[in-house]
Amino acid sequence: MTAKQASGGRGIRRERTPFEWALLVVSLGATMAVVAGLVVSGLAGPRGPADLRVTVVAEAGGPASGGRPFEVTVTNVGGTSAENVVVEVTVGDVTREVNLDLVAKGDTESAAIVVPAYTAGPPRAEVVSYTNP
Amino acid sequence: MRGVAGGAILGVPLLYTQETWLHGRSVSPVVIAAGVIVVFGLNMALSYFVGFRPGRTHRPTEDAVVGMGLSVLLSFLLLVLLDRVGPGTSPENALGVIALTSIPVSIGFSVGVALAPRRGGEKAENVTGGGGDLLVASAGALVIALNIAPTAEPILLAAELDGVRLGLLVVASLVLPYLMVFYAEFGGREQRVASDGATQGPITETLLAYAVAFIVSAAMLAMYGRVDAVNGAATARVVTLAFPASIGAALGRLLI
Repeated sequence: MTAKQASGGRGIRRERTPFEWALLVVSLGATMAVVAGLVVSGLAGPRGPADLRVTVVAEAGGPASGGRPFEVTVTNVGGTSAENVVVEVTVGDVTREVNLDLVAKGDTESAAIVVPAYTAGPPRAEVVSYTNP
Repeated sequence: MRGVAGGAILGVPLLYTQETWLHGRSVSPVVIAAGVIVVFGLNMALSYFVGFRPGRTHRPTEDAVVGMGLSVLLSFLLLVLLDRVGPGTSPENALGVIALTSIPVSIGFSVGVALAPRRGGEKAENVTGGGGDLLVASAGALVIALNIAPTAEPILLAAELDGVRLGLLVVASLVLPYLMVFYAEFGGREQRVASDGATQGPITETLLAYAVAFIVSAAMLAMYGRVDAVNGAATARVVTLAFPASIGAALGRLLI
């Protein structure tokens, strides 16, 4: 009887090598870590709607791109991701709008705006709208 | 390496898809975990009938575990390389993107033997020599590049990747196809390694295949109006597209 026949036509049976054992252990660990991590974060993470926190800071280095650049940072501390996020930033009497495709829950996204160099006053920002995914 | 080759062939196009990056962060983690578990069952069945180890399909569960685990690790490495996952990404979102990307990669693992038969594709014997290698390399690169070049991803990635990551992408574009073609025990490996033709040494052939993938990528981007000058931005776009194209070029060479 050949080895193939002995294995019922499913290939040659042989003992696992140390490398194959190591590969199996690492693979099992990686798979379990991903599945367990997803389940735990899905069940134990924050719940409820998206909660977007906006901060605006002047970019270091002074005037650039024909005006005063500001960095707009949006952090989602809520329990749901937010898509098509629209943020309105006002500096003095100048208003700029920032659009972000997605701010996932637990994530931070940032963008830059530029206002004219003559604009004075501190920046103010608010979330105007977003959609639920 | 046969599983890695299969996984790279099926997984890289999805890796270059914005929706994967977005949905990996917006879809419920529990839903993604359920998807991974369902695909794991599918991989067990595929490993029973096909697998990535020729002549050994009597341990489908073990092979499915190895395929899934290595897919997770390969996806993680490629996502870090492309800066889709990094220190600023929350663990939950990183796990989501990695899990979504690893699903097609794991299926590639499970059908690794079938993707590139050990004795090569039909009529493979008709394609001989270095010229034949480069011909099928260009065809493989064209198939992948043609699918990705019209999309926004090469432009987006090229704009966001720094010089170090672009350099590492070139290294990956050389090393991964080299391992796939010369270490995956696919068709014609012995003859390929033993050949002493001017273009058939492992390193020479790998470099020439990358050059082909690079040229094909540049041509595809130019055709779609994505490259219209020789400058840093254009080079970054070509390098970004040349990575999946080099995987396609490797697949072409595996089939002969």
